[in-house]
Amino acid sequence: MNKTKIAITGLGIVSPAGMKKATFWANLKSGRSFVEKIERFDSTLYQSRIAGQVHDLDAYSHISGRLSKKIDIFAHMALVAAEEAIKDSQIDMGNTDKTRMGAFMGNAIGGWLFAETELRDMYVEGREGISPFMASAWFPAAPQGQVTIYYGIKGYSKTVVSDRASSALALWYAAKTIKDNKNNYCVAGGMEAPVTPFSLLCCNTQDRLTRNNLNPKTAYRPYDLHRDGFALGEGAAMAILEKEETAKARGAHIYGYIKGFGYSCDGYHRSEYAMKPEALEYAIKMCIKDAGWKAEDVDYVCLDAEGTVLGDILEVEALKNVFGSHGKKMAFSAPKSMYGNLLGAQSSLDLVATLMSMEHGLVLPTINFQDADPRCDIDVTPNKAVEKKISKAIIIARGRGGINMVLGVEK
Amino acid sequence: MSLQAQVIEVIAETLDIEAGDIKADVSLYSSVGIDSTEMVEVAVALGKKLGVAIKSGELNNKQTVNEIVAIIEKKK
Repeated sequence: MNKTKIAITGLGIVSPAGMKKATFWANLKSGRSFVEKIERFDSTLYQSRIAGQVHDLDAYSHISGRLSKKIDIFAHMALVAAEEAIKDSQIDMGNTDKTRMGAFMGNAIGGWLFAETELRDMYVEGREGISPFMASAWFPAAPQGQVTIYYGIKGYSKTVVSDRASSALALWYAAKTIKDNKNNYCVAGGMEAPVTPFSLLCCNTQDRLTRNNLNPKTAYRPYDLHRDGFALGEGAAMAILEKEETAKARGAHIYGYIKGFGYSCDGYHRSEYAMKPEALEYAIKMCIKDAGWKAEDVDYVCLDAEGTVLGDILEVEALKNVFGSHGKKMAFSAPKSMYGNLLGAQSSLDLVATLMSMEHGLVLPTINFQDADPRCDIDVTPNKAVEKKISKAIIIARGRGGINMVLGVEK
Repeated sequence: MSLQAQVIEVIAETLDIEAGDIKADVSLYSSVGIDSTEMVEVAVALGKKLGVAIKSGELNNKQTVNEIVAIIEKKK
């Protein structure tokens, strides 16, 4: 068995709750909501018209106007998060073998702001109205391309499209290429920009978004009796991965280690979950085993928190079946209740939140929890952060059609 | 404004770069690193601004501003 430990040495974020790690952390531990009404276009007729949004990307951006006009905002977010992560890691990019550096990114829906605008121009002005950059701007792997071009990264790289679990798998793929000695370093994470007229419409058809539009701050209430779905979010998060010995040799700060991964699919329906959570249980157990842990070793679960009636019941049932009585001693929470679910980028932001929780010994809360649902009877750290030492954690990510991914992280 | 100045202005506006960085007698690739996709955008913008029909592939990033001006002048 390959015992190589994969260290996380850099983090970068673009999130509705902050553009820098310190701001993100300060905002999350306060338990505030960053979900708000969508006003950048007329969202009046959408069933769900609230989201966690990024308003000040340009103020934090390092890229030129020449580049930004060729790319969609989701690639721009990826570039900003990657820049922050690379700086944070203090990797000497000028003296790093770029053929041994990879980029692994998760995305669910592509870059629609660019595409929607160009398609409108095509139907109004004809084919010459379309930007020649359309072809390279909209597709899910575009951010991977832009990040690799920007930094001259030439190693084994990949983009994963796996609905809301995309970046969990991207992080694991990246870790695996380092374990398998294909890469020395990886930039890994995800990016998503679903707050556009067309993508918001598509996301609404999933019938999983909250419709509590009059109360944006309290609408996303996973595990609460009155939950009615999740709020969308937009943003990106990137991590720098490398071998533990490389990180230690260059004196890098190690936030934690990627230790294990579990995956399965329900094999039941094209968009719905199976009515029993066996496949999710299987993925959680696989992750724990892959990490070399026992269920009793896990201190914290960063929850998927779909916020739908069935999704939360199934997740809780799976957790209770895996952890049994140990579940009373460990902590569970869904920090995403504060800023929405970033779809393909969500697990990478969950990773940042989990690592920061480990650093500070504080479990972030699940906000908007008021009335307990007896069918979701685990302690989800309601409304207020709780001090607790976290050494071993799992991050759960589920996707439509019963995609189950579980990432194991250790301090 | 001379045709050369107009061409430089269109290129600068299209790419969001400084007009002063564009050298009239050096290839656009060498002076401002225009890639082939940017060149398509430039060709469309020149066609619209100057009212000439520029065919696909007629302009490329190995050309200088002066060479582009000569191509456009023949069409006027």
